[in-house]
Amino acid sequence: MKEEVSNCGRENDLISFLYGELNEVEAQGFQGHLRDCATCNVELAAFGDVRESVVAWRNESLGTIVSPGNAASRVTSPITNIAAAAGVNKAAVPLAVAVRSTASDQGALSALREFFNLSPLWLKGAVAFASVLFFVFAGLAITRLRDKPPVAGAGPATSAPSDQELNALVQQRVQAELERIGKVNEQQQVKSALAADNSAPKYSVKRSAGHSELAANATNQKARRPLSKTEREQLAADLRLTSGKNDGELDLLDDRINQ
Amino acid sequence: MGTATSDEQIVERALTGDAEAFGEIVQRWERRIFALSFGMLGREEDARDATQETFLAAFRNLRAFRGEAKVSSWLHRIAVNQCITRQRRAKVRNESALETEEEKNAANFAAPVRYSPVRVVESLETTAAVRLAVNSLPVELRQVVVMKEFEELTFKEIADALDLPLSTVKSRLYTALKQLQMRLQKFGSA
Repeated sequence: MKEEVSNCGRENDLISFLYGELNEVEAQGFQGHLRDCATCNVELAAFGDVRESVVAWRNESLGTIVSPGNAASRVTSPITNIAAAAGVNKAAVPLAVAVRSTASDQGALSALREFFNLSPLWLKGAVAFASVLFFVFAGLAITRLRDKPPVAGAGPATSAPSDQELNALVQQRVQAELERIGKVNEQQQVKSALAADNSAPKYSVKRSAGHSELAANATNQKARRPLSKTEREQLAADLRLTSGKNDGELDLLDDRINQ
Repeated sequence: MGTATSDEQIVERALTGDAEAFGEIVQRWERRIFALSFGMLGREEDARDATQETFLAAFRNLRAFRGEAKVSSWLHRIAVNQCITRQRRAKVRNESALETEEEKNAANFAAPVRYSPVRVVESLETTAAVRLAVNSLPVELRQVVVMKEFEELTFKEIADALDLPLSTVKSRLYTALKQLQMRLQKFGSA
C-alpha cells in the first residue's frame, strides 16, 4: 500500500490536535487547515481508528483501573513498602497486577466458555464422551477398591491348630510312643535277662513322666540291643525324623486332630 | 498531581532516611509505571518484574536524583531503560514476548486466525492484532505510543522522561500511528 505522506508539513500539529494538546487558538487554526487539506483529514480519521483499537487493547489488558483521559480518577492503592524490601527481596505484586490477575481469571473462564462455544460439534461430543468414560472408570476403580476379593486358600472349616495345641499334641504322641517303646524294651529285657547274663542295666527303666529319662533309657537300650531296621524306621517316622513314604503319612497329625 | 506534598518533597524526606516516604512515591506511580512496562513488554509478568526493578533502581539511586527533572520523568526514564534492557536480554535468550516468529508474522502480518469470524472472536483477534502491531514497532516508536496511550502522559512529560525534544516526540508518534495504521489495515481490523 502506498504510504500517504502528508505534504503539508503539519504532522506534529495533526498529532497535537488528535490528542487535544492544542490550545484554543491553535485548534481553531488547525480546523481551518483541515477544511483545505484532504490528506490531513484522511490521516486524522485513520489515526482516530488506530487510537480506538489501542485504547481497547489497553483497557482489556489493564482493566478499568487506569481510566482514560482523567488523571484525577486514577485510583491509588495501598502498596507494599518496596523501600523496606529494597535491600532484601522484591516487593509484592502491585494491586494493578492483582486486579489484572482477577480479570485474567475471569478472562480464563470466558476463554474456556468461548472455546466450547466455538469448538465444532464433534469436539464437544468427544470431550463429553471422554468425560463419561473417565467417570465410569473412576466409579469402577472405587467399587473395586471397596470390594476386596476373598482370600484364596483354606476354607473356613479347617482352621490350623494353634502352636500350643500343636506342641501339646506332639508331646502327647512322643510320650505315647516312648511308653510303647518302653513296654517293648521291658519285655525284651525280661527275655534277655533270662537268657543271658544278669547284668543290670546301667540305667533302670523308669516309668516316670520324664521324657528325657525314657529317651535316655531308650537310647541305652538301643545301645544294648540294636533296634531292627523296621523298628528304627517306625521310631523315626513316629518322631517325624524322616518324611513319610507317602503323603498320607504327613497328614497323620492333622488326621488325628480331625479324628 | 495536585497533592499537598509534591514528589520532590517526598524524595527529600526519603533522602533523610524516611523509608515510608519512598513508599508514597511507589504508591503514586506504581500503576502508571506498570502500565508503561506492560505496553512496552506485552507480558504481565515481565511488566510486574520491570515495575519492581524500576522502583528498586530508583530507591538505590535516590541520592543521584538531583531534582533537575521531575520525579515522574526520572521514574519513566528508569522504567523505559529497564524495559529496553529486559527486551535485549530476552531477545538474546529468545524468550521475548516479541518472538522471532511473531516479529516475522508482524512484518508480513500473517494473522494467526483459524476460527471463523464470530463477533467475539473478531474482537479478540483485533486485540491480538493490535498487541502484535504495537509490539512489532521499533522500540523508540513503541515507547511514545505506550507512554501516550497507556500512561496518558502529555507530550511535554514524554519529552522530559525520554530526554527528547517535543517535536521529536510528536514526529515519532506520528510515524508510529502511521505504521500501526498500515499494519492494522493489512490485518483488516482497522
